[in-house]
Amino acid sequence: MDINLNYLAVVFNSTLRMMTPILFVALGSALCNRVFIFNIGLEGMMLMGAFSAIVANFYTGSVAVSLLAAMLSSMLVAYVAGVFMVKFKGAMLVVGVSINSLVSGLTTFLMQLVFGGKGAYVSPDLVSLPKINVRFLSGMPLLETMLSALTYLDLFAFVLAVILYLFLFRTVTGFRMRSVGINKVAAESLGINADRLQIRTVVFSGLLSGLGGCLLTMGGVTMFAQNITAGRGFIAMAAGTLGAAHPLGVIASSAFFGLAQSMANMLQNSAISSQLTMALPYVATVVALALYNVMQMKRMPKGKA
Amino acid sequence: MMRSKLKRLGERLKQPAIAIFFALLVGAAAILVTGENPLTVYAAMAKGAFGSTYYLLTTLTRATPIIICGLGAAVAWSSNYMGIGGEGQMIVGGFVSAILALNVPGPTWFKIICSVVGALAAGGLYSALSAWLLEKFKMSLAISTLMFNYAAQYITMHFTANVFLDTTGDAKMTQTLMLVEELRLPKIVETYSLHWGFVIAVLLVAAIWFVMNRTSFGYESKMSGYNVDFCDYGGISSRKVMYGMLTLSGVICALAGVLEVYGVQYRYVHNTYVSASYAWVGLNAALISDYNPVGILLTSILLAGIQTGGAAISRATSVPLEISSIIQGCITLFISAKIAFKFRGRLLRRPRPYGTQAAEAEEGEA
Repeated sequence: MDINLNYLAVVFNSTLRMMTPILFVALGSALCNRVFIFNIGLEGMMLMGAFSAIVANFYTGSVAVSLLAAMLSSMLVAYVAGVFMVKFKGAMLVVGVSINSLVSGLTTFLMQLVFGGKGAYVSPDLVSLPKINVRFLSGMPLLETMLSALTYLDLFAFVLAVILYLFLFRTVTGFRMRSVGINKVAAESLGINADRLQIRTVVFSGLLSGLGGCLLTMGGVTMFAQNITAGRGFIAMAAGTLGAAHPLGVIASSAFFGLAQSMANMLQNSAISSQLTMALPYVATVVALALYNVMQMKRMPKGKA
Repeated sequence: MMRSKLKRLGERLKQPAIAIFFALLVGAAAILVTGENPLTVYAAMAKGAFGSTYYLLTTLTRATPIIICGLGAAVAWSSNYMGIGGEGQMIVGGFVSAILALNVPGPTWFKIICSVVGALAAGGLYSALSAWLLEKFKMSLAISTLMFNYAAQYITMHFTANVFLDTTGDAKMTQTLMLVEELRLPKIVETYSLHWGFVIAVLLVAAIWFVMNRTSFGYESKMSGYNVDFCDYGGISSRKVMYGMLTLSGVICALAGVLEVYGVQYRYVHNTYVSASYAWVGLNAALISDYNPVGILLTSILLAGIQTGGAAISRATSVPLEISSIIQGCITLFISAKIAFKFRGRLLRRPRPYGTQAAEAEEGEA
C-alpha cells in the first residue's frame, strides 16, 4: 500500500510537470477563443519560444535573458500572425498552418547556424530554471515527492490562471474582450477598437506560448531538439476548448492532458507497447472533447442548438 | 473572349506571383544571414531542382505525393471542410497497402487489388471518422484531424515495430519487409527514380478537375464551399457533401501513401511521410493555387523543386535545407492575405472554416 501511494505521488508530480507547459499555451488559446480567434499557430509560437530560450541561454547563460528572449520572440511571431489574421483578414487556419511551417523551418535553420547541427542540442553549460526548494517538506516524504523538481515558472502557471480569470471576468478590458468574442460588430458599435484588441490578445497568447516553450526546454530537461513541441501547441488548443475557454476550467483540462502524457511516459517501462502509450494523449484528447461536447449539447435548451 | 480569358488567368496568377516574390525576398534575407550570396544560391537551387534530367525527375518523384495530397486537401477545403489530416491519411494508406501486399495470399493481380482497395478504403473510413465526430459531437475538424495524425503515426509504428518488423536486414529502421519485384511500380525511365505513380497523379488531376467542374457532386460541394447554410436551403444535403468530400479526401491522400509504397520505398517505413511533410506541402500547394487542380499540379512541382533544390544547395553551401520550409511558409502566409483581398470584391461572403471553433461560436451566436 505504501509503495502504491508513493507511485501515485510520482504520477502526480510528473502530471504537474507535464501539464504546466500546456497550461500556459492553453491559457493563450482560451483568451484567443474569447476574442473569436482560432489560433492554430500556437504550436509555432511555442516552438519559437522554446528555441529562443535555449539560444539566449547558450549565449548569455542567464535565466532572465532566456525567459525574456522566449517571450519576445514568440510575441513577434504572434504579432505577425495577428496582423495577417485580423488586419489582412487571412483565413485563421491558413495563417496558423503557415506560421507553424515557417517556425518549424526557421528554428531548424537557425539551429544549424547557431549549434552547427540539427537533431538535438544539449550542453552542461546551459542553465535551467531555478527549482523550488522543497526541503522544508522532508518531514512528509509523500508531499515532498509530489512537489519535487518543480520550477517557479510551473508555480506561476497556476497563479497566472487565477489572475487571468480575474482579468477576464472582473476588469473592463476583460469585459470588452468577451464582448468582441460574442459579437465583434456590436462591440465595435460601442466604440471598442476590436481589431486592436484581437491583435493584442494574439500577441499576449504569444507571450504565454513563449513561457510554455521556455518551460519545455529549460524546466525538467534543459535542451532543444528539432520540433520539440511535438504537437503540444495543438493539444493546448484542445485543452483551451475543453476548459470552455475559462482560465480555471483550463487548469482542469490541462491537468487531464498532463496526466495522459505522464501515463504515457510511465507505461513506457511496462509490458504495454511504448508506441501505443505515446498515442494515448492524442486519442484521449479526442475522446475527452467528444464527451465534453455531448455534455454541452445536452445542457443546451432544445431548439436553440 | 480569348482576351478576357487571358486576363482572368493573369488576374489569377498575379497574387501567387506576388506572394512567391516576397517569400523569395524573405528567403534571400535568411540566406544573407548564412553569409552566402542569395542570387548564386537561388541559381544553384534552380539548377538542383530542374537543371538536369536527374534533378528534374527527382523533383517530379517528390512532387507525386505532394500533388495527390494537394488534391485530397483541395476537395475537402473547397467544400468548406477544412481538415488537416492528410498526413495521417497518407500514413494509413501506405501502411495498410504494404501490410496487405505482403500478407494476402494468391496471384499478383489479386494481391494488388486487395492491397490498393484495402488501403484506399482504410484511408476513406479513417477520414470519415472525423466527419462523424463533427456531425455527432460537433468536434472541430481541425483538432480531430490533427490529433488523429499523431495517433495514426504511433499506432502504425506500434504494428510495424512489434508485428511486421523487417528483421532480415541489419538496418535499425522501423520498417516492413520489401515487396517482391512483380508488385513494384515500374520506373518511367530506367535508372531514374520517377515511377508511373506520377502519371497516375496527373490523371488524378484531370479526374478531380472533371468531378469538381462537370458533375453535380462537384457543383454541390462548390455550393457548400460558398455557404453551408445556403446549400441546405437550396436543397443540397450538406451532410452528404461533408461525408462525401471528407471520405474522398481521405481516399485520395491514402493513394499518395500507396504510391510511395509501390513506387519509391517498396515497403512501409515509419516516419518517412512525416519527415518529408508531403501532406503539409500538399495542403500548401492547394492553398496557393486556390484549390484549382491544374494549379495544384504546377505548384506542387514548384514546391518539390524548392525542396530538392534546397537539398542540393545544403550539400554544396552552408545554407541549411530548411530554407525551403521558410520560403514555403512565407508563400502561404502571404497568399492568405490575398484570400481576404479577393473575397472583399465578391458578393458571396466566404464563410469561415466550418468545423472550427470560430465557426461554431458564430453559429451559436447567430
